[in-house]
Amino acid sequence: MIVIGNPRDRRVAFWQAALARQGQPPARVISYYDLLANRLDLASLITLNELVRIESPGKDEQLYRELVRFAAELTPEPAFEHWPLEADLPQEHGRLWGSRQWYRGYCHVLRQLEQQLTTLNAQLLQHPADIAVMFDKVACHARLAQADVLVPRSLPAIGSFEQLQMAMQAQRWQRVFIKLAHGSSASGVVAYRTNGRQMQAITTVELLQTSAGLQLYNSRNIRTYTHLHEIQPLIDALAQQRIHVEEWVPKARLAGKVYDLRMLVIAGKAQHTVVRTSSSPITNLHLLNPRGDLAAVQAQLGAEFWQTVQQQAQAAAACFDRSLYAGVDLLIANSLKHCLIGEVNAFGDLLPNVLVDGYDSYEAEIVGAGGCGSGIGSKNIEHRI
Amino acid sequence: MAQLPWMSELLPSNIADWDHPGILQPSGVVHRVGLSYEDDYDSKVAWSDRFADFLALPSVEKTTGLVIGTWWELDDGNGPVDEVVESLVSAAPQLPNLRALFVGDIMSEESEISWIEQDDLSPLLSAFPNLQHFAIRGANGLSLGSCQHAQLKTLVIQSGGLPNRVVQEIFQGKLPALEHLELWLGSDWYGGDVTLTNLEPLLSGELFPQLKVLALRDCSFADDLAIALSQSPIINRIEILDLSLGNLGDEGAKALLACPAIKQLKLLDLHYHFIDSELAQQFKQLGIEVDISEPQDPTRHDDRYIAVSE
Repeated sequence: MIVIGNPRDRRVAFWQAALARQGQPPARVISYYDLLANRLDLASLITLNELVRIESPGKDEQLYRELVRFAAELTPEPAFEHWPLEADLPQEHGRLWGSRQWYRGYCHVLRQLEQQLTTLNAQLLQHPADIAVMFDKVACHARLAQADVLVPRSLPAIGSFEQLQMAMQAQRWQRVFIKLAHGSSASGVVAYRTNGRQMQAITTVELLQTSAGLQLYNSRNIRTYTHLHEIQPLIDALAQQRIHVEEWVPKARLAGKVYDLRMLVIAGKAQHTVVRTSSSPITNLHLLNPRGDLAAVQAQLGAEFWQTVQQQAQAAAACFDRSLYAGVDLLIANSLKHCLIGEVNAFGDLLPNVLVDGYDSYEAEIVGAGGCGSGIGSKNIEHRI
Repeated sequence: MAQLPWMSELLPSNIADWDHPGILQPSGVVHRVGLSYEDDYDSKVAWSDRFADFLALPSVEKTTGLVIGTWWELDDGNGPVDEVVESLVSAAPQLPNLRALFVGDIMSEESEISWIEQDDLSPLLSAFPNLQHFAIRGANGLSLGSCQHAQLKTLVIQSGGLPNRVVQEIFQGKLPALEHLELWLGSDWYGGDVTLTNLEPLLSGELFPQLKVLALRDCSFADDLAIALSQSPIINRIEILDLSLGNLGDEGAKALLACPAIKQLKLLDLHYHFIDSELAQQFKQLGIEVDISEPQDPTRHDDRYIAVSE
């Protein structure tokens, strides 16, 4: 078994520990750093038909810069910011920059992996092309909608705050969620609403005016901006990194807080589920937001609707049928009658301390991959390649 | 939040959205009638139609508590409350047992508190003479008219900014049975223009002879208010004092600690505050129940701010 990941990230250690608990030998780890440096001959590292798990690059700002640099020589896209090879890349911790270019760099890596792994007939837990779509909220939303999976209504491509205002007026919308198209967790998320007289942007983004111009930072403190002179540059700057805009669906609430759900679908079956609660509209600040009471949510929604929710998650994951698992974010509307898909996350399977049938999420994936006896069988996922 | 006695009928955990067109849930559950998300733009309904369906339910006359949620389609922007007031007033004969009413249980997720458009709600006081608990969220355009009610025990106004005009209506009105007064004073940015002087009739103890619970929350002059309260006559005859969600700091805390009457309270709620941690510890030695949770870090902001100011 091979894990392509970031050896510095805890995810790799968690995976190895899950393998050990399942009585499996440790996986061999291939580092993104080595992939990027092009100093690896995958053919010599991966045996024929070997199982391969592609892990998140993780929260590693050095690796982020490397991926941005990897895309520096691609043709610049006029709509989005471009960091050429000779640019001094930002070093500040938590800075929000270059998301679109990072994505292009990462896709480049994924495409290379796809070519090489196909030749080796590797058994992939997740297909690189699926990962690429899941990391593109615009493409992901379109794919789900195409498959008749209920998603929030979205706006066409928005390049600036002015365009956002025009599009919202055309639709007669007063509330939208703005997300970085290639962001993860709550990075670059803005809940924006206006009543014609006032405007309000609730966000995880901190704006900082510096001598070098406006800078954006990811923050764990939710901020609320209420003035045009803050909101306009915020949206303009995010749009430079590509954004996805959809209607702000009012979320269900329980015990005075709103919540949404993260459901891990493995081999077509909805399994590990986490209730994410918040006093703000932004629920996916996993570090600070307390987990909600799953049993209480199930009681609130009733058995029949809960089944629908699980089916929705499964339908969303089925749009990525070359991947064994996907972390699906589900919004329960305040009607308690509608369940919409917020996102599908390639690496949304890190859900520590949540057990289903005694297995944590990583163990369940190992089992789902057909692990038993010596070595993990590839039978269950052969058709996925 | 410390649990205040009046809330027993309108506790968030007792409130459940009425599942249109479903039946009424057993007693103890307070129904929230409001509009919610529709995935189909063509299926829009008016709040008054939804409420008419509620009124047609069997046993609706047994309803003792009612919560009014969002009364407009969220896509359309905040709508006027007239429709709600008119519907409720005409429904009064069908709701003879109504004791608790909450107009505007609308979460931040659904509308910013300062964007909720209220209006003159005094017709509700006249229409429901048996009402005991009345809560309102949102103070934009709010009026309580001559504010008269013989039975009302609880009046709560939650707002991002409460106009002094409304406060004076309450002070000049007639609420002889009032035991619990809760006002979220909020920020001047959102129309909260109440000053300490404006609160003088209340602090002097001349008003509301039955008052037991005084909650002046989300106050942007909480230190001055605490100092004034600790020297005021009213402090001697209330059981619960709630100064939570405001910008209370060390000065106000010292005044409260030095006030002998504080030790006679049943509950002092100061949660969400800017009091130094050592000073905050002293409240635990008062021998009464104190909620001093959610300390805020004054160094984090240029200016200390209140919890609900958006």
